[in-house]
Order: sequence, then C-alpha cells, then structure tokens
Amino acid sequence: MERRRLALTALLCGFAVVVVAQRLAPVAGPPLYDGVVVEDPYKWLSPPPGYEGGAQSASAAGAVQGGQSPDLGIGTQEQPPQAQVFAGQGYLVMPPGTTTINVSIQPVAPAAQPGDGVIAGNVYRFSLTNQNGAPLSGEASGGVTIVLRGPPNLPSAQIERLAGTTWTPLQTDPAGTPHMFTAVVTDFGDFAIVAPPGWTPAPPGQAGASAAGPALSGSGSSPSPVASAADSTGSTTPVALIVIGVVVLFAVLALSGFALARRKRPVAPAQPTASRRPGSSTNTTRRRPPRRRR
Amino acid sequence: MSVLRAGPIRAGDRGRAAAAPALATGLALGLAVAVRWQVFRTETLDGVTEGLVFGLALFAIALLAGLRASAPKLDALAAGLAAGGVLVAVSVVARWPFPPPVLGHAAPFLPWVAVTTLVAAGEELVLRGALWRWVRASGGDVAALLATSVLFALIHVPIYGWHVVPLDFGVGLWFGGLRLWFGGPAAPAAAHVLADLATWWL
Repeated sequence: MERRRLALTALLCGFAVVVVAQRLAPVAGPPLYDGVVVEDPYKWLSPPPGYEGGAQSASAAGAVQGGQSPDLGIGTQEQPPQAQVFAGQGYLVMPPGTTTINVSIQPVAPAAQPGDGVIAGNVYRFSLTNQNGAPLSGEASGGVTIVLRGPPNLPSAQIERLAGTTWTPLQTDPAGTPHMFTAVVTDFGDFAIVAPPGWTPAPPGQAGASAAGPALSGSGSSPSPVASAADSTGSTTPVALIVIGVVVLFAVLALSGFALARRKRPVAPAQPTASRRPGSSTNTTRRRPPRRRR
Repeated sequence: MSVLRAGPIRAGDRGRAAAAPALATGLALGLAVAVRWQVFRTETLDGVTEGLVFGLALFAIALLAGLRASAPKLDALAAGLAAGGVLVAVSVVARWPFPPPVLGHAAPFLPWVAVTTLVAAGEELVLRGALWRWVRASGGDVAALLATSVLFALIHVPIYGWHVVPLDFGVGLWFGGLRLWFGGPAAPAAAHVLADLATWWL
C-alpha cells in the first residue's frame, strides 16, 4: 500500500514537471529526446575541403484563407531540413489585397561576417512575399519561427539576423534535436547560426549520417521528399536486415511469454528446522510470503 | 556484477551488498552513453547502426546486472501504453497554437522502429529494471525513484543538451511511478517505446 502511495506521488509529480517543462519551454522535437533517428550530413553552400556541398533550397505558395495567412511550414530538402520556417494561422502580417503567399528559403553567401562569432554552416535567405512581391512580416506576439540546423559539434550557438551589414542576435532556443536551433522572428531576410569565436566544423566522419531527432519538414507545397534508404544511411540494407532480425527475435520472445522483469531477490538458505528454536535470535532469514496476485 | 549478486545476502548486509552492483550498473550505463556520444560526435557510424549498438549494449548491461526474464503482465503493458499516450498528448498540446509540422524522415521506417524500440526498452531495463532493483535494495524505493530519474535526465544531456533535463527528469518520475505501481519495468518500457515511436509523426 505504501508503495502504491509512492507510485501515485511519483506519477503526479512527474506529470506536473512534464507539463510545466513543456509549457514553459516547449521544444519542437521528440517528447523524450530518445530513440534513434538519422540525419543527412550537413550540406554546405561553399563546402570547406573534404566537406559535402549541395545545400538545398525550398519554395512554396499558399492561398490566403478567410483573410488570414494559412498555417505553413516549409523546409529545405535535406533530412532533417537545414532551414525551416513555421507560421501559425493568422500570424503573418500581410499587405492589403494579399491573396497568395510566396515563401522561399535559399542558401546564400554571407554579405557580412558577425562580430561576435563565426557563421556555422550556411546563411539562409528567408523571403515571404505576397503575389505582388510585397514583403510580409510576423506578428510581434510571436507565432512565426525559423529553425536552422548547423553542422555537428556545435556546443552552443545563436541564430542571428543580418540587418543591413550588422548581424543581430535573436532569442534562440534548442529545437529539440542536436545542433538545431529555433528563434521567433518578425522580419525575414538573411539568417545564420553563429557559433562562438574560434569554432570550426568537426572533421568529416566516416559515415554519412549520425543520430538526431526525426526531421521536421515542410507542410507546404513542395519540399522535403521522404529520403530513401540509400539517401540516409548509405549501407542501410545490411543494417535493416540486422535490425529486422533483432525485432523478430524480440517478437518471438514476447510471444513465448517472456519479457524482462526484475529477478527475485536473493534469500539466504534456510537453516535446518531441527536446529532452530522458535524466537531464536539467529533466525534472521525468514522466507517471504508468496506475492499476492493483483 | 553477476558475481556480486550470486551469493546469499543477509538482511543486515543487503544495503551494503547492493551498493556495489548499483554503482557498477550506473558506471556501465555511463560508459555506454559516453561511447555513444563519441560515436555521435565523430560520426563514426550512421544513426541506425549507432542506435543498434547502443541498444544491444544496454541489454547486455541489464543482463549482466542480474535482470532475468519473466512473463509480463498485460495490465502493466496496457497502462504503459496509456501513460506513453499521455506524454505524447502533453507534447502536442504544449505546442498549441503552432501548427504540427509534417514529418520527413531520413531513415527507413522499419529499421528506425526496430532500433528505437531496442534503445527505449534497453534504457528502461537498465534504469528501472536492474539499477532500480539494486538501488532499492541499498536505499529503498524513494532512492531508486530519484536516482533513476536523475540518471534518465543526465544520459540525454551529451547529445541533446542541458535543456532537456527538466523535461526528462519529469518523465523519469512518471516512468518511476509506473515502475512502482506495477513492480517491474514492463509498464515504463511500454510507455517509453510508444512515446519515442510517436516522434515519427510529431
């Protein structure tokens, strides 16, 4: 009974902590930051020697619905996307007469260097315009976010926006998966992840991908096709066979009525009955009564 | 570790005898996490293979730490799935009113499901299976609950950063409550697996 009470307390406390943590700092990623998922190697616009090039862009168009901007989520075509923009319904400020919203994300060469660090990865130009090319902005109350993924081995970083020739830091939060960051924006333009001074990308790995969260991709019109096995892991086929074999093994074990649970607590062997007297102080190893079935 | 548990433990010595395997289990878990971090940082393996190796290492640790097989209870599995669903629901509701993004995936579905299941179950078998048992024998249920919840949060820090600590500590308590209620790791394992698998769609 005592254990049940403690269990209830733990469940209630755990739930409260989860709700508060999620509400105060909702993370755009997995609920538990766990499991195994795969990401493509970082694609550079101008790759340093030995690194992979081919940074992708994205574009989409959406119709205004009932005088409000639609829900949109657009990402570049890497997995996970290296640059994304999300806007909730009605969170974009549109010029009068707007009927269509055009969104594009393009990797561009940096027009200036930040003074407080080094650009980690690519600079991305986010452009949101209406059908006439007039720029849109985000509500000051929030609701429009961008997400940037940087190269691996980013210890900490900040999203910055290029205003004129000056990089301006934005309030940056982790996006739930490694080396992905998110920031609320009101104006669009050029954005980049800025790492501390002296940061350099990790040497290219032997394999093509590493662990991260599942990829968020655009819910708009075009980007982010699902990656094929070869796209993502290179030598996926043998890995898949191994993994499927493991799953089959577990399934067989489960169907056979086995699962892993705690082992019985070891108990000292009982002494011969004849040598013990009732109430003897040496009788310290009592057998536990059988567990009651629930 | 298995040698340490082999002999009989007297009631008065139980706490001291359990401390060593508890420490060994924790250190083995820490070593596995450190190796995983190194593999991740250097991109030595692709993500699926890395998870496969890590998951198998967790199972090995659980077995070496004395965990044995027994029949799972259906009510524990069902409750675990429901508890995992609650975590997913909280995550979705917390993002309101922002639109749930549509997912793209950089891994094929079946291998991802298999390895995610392996890792999630492995973490539960080590933390709320083997380690829980040793810490409880050494310091009681409350100590086991707190130790495994703190460790659960910490093992995610190397890859995901310190910001996950509050959330994962809360999830650790949630799973610990399931462990206490049902008396084994089946319920938290079911919850953990479900919540992790939901990330494919979230």
